[in-house]
Amino acid sequence: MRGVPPEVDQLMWAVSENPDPGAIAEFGERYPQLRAELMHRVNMVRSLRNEVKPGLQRRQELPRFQPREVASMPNPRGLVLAGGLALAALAAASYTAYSMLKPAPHRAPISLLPREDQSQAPIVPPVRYQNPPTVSPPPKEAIRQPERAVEVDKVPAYLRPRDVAVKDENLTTALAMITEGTGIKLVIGPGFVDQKVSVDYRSKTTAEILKDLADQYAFSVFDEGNGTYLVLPVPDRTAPPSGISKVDTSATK
Amino acid sequence: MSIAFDKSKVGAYDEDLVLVERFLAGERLAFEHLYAKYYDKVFAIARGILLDSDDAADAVQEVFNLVFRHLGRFDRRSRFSTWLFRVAVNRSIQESRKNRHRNRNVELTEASAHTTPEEPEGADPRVHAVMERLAPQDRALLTLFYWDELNLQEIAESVGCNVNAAKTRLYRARERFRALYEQEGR
Repeated sequence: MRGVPPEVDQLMWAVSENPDPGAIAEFGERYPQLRAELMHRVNMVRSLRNEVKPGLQRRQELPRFQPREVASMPNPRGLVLAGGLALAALAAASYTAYSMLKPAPHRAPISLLPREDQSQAPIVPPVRYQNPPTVSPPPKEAIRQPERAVEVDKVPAYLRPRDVAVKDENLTTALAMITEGTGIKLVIGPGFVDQKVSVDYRSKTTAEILKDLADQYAFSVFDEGNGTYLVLPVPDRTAPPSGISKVDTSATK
Repeated sequence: MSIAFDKSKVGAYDEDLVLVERFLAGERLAFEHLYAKYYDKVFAIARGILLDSDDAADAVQEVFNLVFRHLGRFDRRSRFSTWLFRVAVNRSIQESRKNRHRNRNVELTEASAHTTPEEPEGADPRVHAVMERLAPQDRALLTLFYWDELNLQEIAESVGCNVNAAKTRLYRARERFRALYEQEGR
């Protein structure tokens, strides 16, 4: 209570809880200003004790004690796990059912014929080679062919007709430009004499172009497999009509 | 606290322990004796905290069921009675918290029907109103002190604290009760 020293407050509570008439009178004499507060507390404690105490008594006879059997509760972690698995199974089943019932998407027929623009050879800047000159396939960025057309087109690239025009370039550079985009890797053999050439082919396959060049400039092209072709500075008298001879590896085994 | 009350506690100590040992040895009847002996005390604690006789009766059954199952955990460092009261206080406070949520829902639908709180005849209605407004922990302390008439040592053991803490808590609970009681009187 405000304004009352703690020790007096404690004393007042002690008198209130043991309301001896003599103690109440003595407290009233010592602290007359707190007499009303003391009587208020005495009545409050008396009410507190008397009010509920009768209500605390049980209203009937002693109930019989019945020990309850404890039902074994399932492990909550197991319940959560089982619930999660059930949800996952339900989700998987729903997805499967939905996928099976959904109609197949309509797709337009794919043309197997190469388009006009795909047969055009891109123009690549000339490449200067050091000795020994080797020709590597041009970067993939230079070949702009749609992926779908590449997948469906079963015709080898070197058999597709194309236009190639080279003016006043080295023969090795011309060969690189001719074979680019065809998947052919040319390896120039030792002793190959490079020279300035100018060519202009329209609607010719790579094989036809190579054969024509081999006839003109006295060299031979041999297919070594894996898309690698060897260019040797000797004319091949036994070349097939395609112009590219197969390397016979059986004799070396 | 009267001297006679303390003597009765001391006298009951051995008897309770004997009953506990006999029950743990398999004698079911020993537990029935403990039940009959302490039913009213435990009921008083539960009734003082829950403020409802039916809820208190249920809580007492729950308390004795807990004791029946876990009496082997009684470590004999305190008296059986204070251990039992501690179980009763904790269980009743737990039930009181559950009931508070339940009563909030009931209030909306049965506010008009439930107008007569359970009170003994001739009782001061303010006490019941104030006790309802107090926290269950405060009700437990006031119940143990004023209604079960336990001393501070017993209260401390029953609520699980030391004597000084019990004294402080009791003082604060009593002050809160007084403040609310004066509010009710205005």
